[in-house]
Amino acid sequence: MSALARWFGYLRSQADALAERWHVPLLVNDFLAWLAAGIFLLALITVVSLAAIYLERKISGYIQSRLGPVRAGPVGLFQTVLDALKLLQKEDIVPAAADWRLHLLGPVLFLVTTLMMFAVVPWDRGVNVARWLDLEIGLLYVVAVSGIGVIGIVAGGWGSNNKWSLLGALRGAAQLISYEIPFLLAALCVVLQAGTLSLSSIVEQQQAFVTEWFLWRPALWLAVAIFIIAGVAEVNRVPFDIPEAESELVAGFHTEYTGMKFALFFLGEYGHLYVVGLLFAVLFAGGWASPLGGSSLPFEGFVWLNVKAWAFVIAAMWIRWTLPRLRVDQLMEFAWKILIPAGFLAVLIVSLALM
Amino acid sequence: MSLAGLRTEQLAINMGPQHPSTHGVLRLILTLDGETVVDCDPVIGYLHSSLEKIGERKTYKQFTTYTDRFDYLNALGNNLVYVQAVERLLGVQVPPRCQHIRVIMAELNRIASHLVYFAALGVDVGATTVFLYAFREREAIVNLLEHATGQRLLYNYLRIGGLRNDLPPDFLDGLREFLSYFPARLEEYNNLLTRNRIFRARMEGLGVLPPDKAIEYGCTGPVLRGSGVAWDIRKIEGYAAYPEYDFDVPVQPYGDAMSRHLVRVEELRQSVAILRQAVEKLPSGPIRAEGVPRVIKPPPGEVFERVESPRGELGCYIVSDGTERPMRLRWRAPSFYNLQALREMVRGHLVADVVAILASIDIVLGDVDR
Amino acid sequence: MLEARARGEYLPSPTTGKPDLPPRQAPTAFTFLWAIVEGAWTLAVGHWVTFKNFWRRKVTEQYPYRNPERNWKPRPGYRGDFALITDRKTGRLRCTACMQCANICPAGCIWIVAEGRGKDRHPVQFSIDAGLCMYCWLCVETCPFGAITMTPDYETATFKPEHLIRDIEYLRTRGLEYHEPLKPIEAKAQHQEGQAEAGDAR
Repeated sequence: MSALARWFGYLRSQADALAERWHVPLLVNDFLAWLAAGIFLLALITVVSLAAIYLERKISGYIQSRLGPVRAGPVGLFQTVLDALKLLQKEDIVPAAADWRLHLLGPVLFLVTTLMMFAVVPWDRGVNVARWLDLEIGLLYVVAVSGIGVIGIVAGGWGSNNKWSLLGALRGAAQLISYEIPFLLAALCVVLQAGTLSLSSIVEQQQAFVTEWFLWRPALWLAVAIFIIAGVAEVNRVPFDIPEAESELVAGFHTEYTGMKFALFFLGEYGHLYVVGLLFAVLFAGGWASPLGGSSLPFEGFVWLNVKAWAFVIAAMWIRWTLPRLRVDQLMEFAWKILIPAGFLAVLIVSLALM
Repeated sequence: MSLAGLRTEQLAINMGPQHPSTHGVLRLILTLDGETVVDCDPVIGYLHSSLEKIGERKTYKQFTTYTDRFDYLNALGNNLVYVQAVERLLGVQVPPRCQHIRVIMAELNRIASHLVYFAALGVDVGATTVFLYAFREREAIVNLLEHATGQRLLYNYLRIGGLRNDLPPDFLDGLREFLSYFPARLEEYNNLLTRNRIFRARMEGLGVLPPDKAIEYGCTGPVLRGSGVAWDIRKIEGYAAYPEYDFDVPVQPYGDAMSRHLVRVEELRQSVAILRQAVEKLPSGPIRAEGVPRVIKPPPGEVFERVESPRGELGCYIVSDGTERPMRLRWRAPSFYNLQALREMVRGHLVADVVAILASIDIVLGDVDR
Repeated sequence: MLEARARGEYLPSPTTGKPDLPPRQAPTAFTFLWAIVEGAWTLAVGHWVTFKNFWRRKVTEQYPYRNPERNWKPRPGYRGDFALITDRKTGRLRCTACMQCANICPAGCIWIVAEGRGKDRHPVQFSIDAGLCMYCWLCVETCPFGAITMTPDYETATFKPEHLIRDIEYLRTRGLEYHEPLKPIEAKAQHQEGQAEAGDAR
């Protein structure tokens, strides 16, 4: 009996030490802070996705010489909200011969990894989602988590029991893992320039004045270009939208999804696009810093960060509605034969510039 | 583990009749080895409406309505070939104003049809914006044709011996306005799509059709001209006032999808040139021939009349036995013969290429299935 | 025999005098790099095209609630719903039930039941099945009396297919709303007069 008690006591002390090191909340106010952070993230991703879908429809309409949504609310602002409500009340159909666990895992994993990426973004001076998530290895964390998102796509494709979906999912997996390398190489250039992997310190180094932004350093221009291209490819957008190529595979890996699961895929996709935009703002454009340096008013930093992130999102939409799609072997060739050597070249250039 | 003992399977995939990019209800059974197409088997007949059989039951005057529905993107061209065939049987000569208006209508239809080709190609390749731009231009043409003929797609405008009605007074002004801005827009779309590096990488070297194979299959139109053979029925037959117009026949030598695309782009420019000349040259006069009887009973005989549709050589073969209904009416549909070459063209390409090659052949299922 | 990766220039366009595309080059290191640079330029040019179109006037027509100044009606001559014309002088339908339209209709969608002889001949039942109709205008053309016409009205959808059959009262009412159409022969004469006047004016 006493051996058991001693053993429990030993386990408990180990758990306490671990909790101490990992900042697991034991106190109620810590728990409430966690809860607030979670609600903030979920609300943010919902609002961001709704706004991004609305913006996509309006921008694509205006580029294509037509008005986008106009009837639902003034200038169609409520269109996406109504679409979300419509999707909520749809029947969830799972193909009979499909594995329902994988069918469910796909969108959930996709969305969860996107949400995880939001956690390390510095929203304002000294503000991360929670104080203790100012990870020293923030950038590495983001890239690693986006790699896990690939599993969500493959699970969705396999769990649909559909040859076309499977094709789309496998192509998606190949594409995503191929384009993570130039993505990481471009981010690596910023790491070399800034000397740290922590996102908030990268922003701190760019906040004096707009000319301090890494965007304007000639040594980093190749890295900027590679980051934009690889970022767009990471989000499965045209010209890299092979996994969901509409005209070839009907709808790719999300063909067999209805209702809320379909909505989760879209939430994840637009959320991921927004996260890449945030990363662009943080790595190259000074994050929450206003062009005149620093941020003084409350929420000013948050606003500036969003301005820059949404600029990237709108540019990605512009690219989507202009360019045709790359074929899958051309896409892989582009990644491995052009972008990765260019990525190495960018790292070389930055290293030489820093010597 | 050696690769020699690895067993692979070929995947038979069905690009079914309902698919965003088969240009209609066409079923393709693809046999894939990984992503490479080993064989392609088109299954047609989903749009078959036995129009040729209907041709044996309707009188000559009634059948003009049905001719629109073969290749519905080129309705006036279909009208033209049928009406010319019957006129040849009857031995009727139509007045010159009518001939020139027929040329105007045929060329407007050619522009409209090639714009739909652009649009469908854009969607298949991934540039959805091109679809909307092409249809925006097409809207102007369709509005003009609506004012002239009374309908937007199935015009039923040409009659045996002439036209249904004369052009409305502001038709030529509308046409001039369209011609004034269209070439610049075409250059814009060339910049957007044709010269785009990604588009070139998608289309160059795709679906190569050597000229001897093209002739063997009976391909005509841009498919044949894209393989290097300068064959245009407008120059060869010289029907309906075409001999009075000065235009060139575009040819490209490589036989791939990009060559066919360039041929169609150039045909758009040539059609604009023809329309410019037509607007100046249009003579006045009657629009119906004299002496066409109310009940049309051509003398017994047969005739094969052909015109150049945007898809190729469109032919109408009529056997008449002296009554008011044809004994046999056969439609030589260009898309049917062009589609045969698909199997040859897709061997060794990827699935995404099948879609692009199909778009570059530019078929209309109404033509293929009749 | 054509090679898939054939090199060389494209043939020049007869209109512009030069080829539409730059020539296809063999893959060397130099052409590889040049393709990247030139490719990036063509992509940028494409973006400029879409940017220009972003600011152009939108062509959406918000039917039917907005833009009321367009009364959403095509011109007369548009092949829409049917009408039987009432003669202004006599107050009766012009139709004499001669069956010409019923005979020529390719779809066979006109049924006429007639009464009377000679000058008195008139239809008592005149039904057109607008669902079978191909909207080809042959009945209008064939009618020797200009009694039937097609109006520019296209908003004729109904909830039941039976309601698509237009009977004689419906057709008569529609005919009263529209002007008497000109027969094609008369239209031609008017057009030629107009052209002659314009020619004199010039």
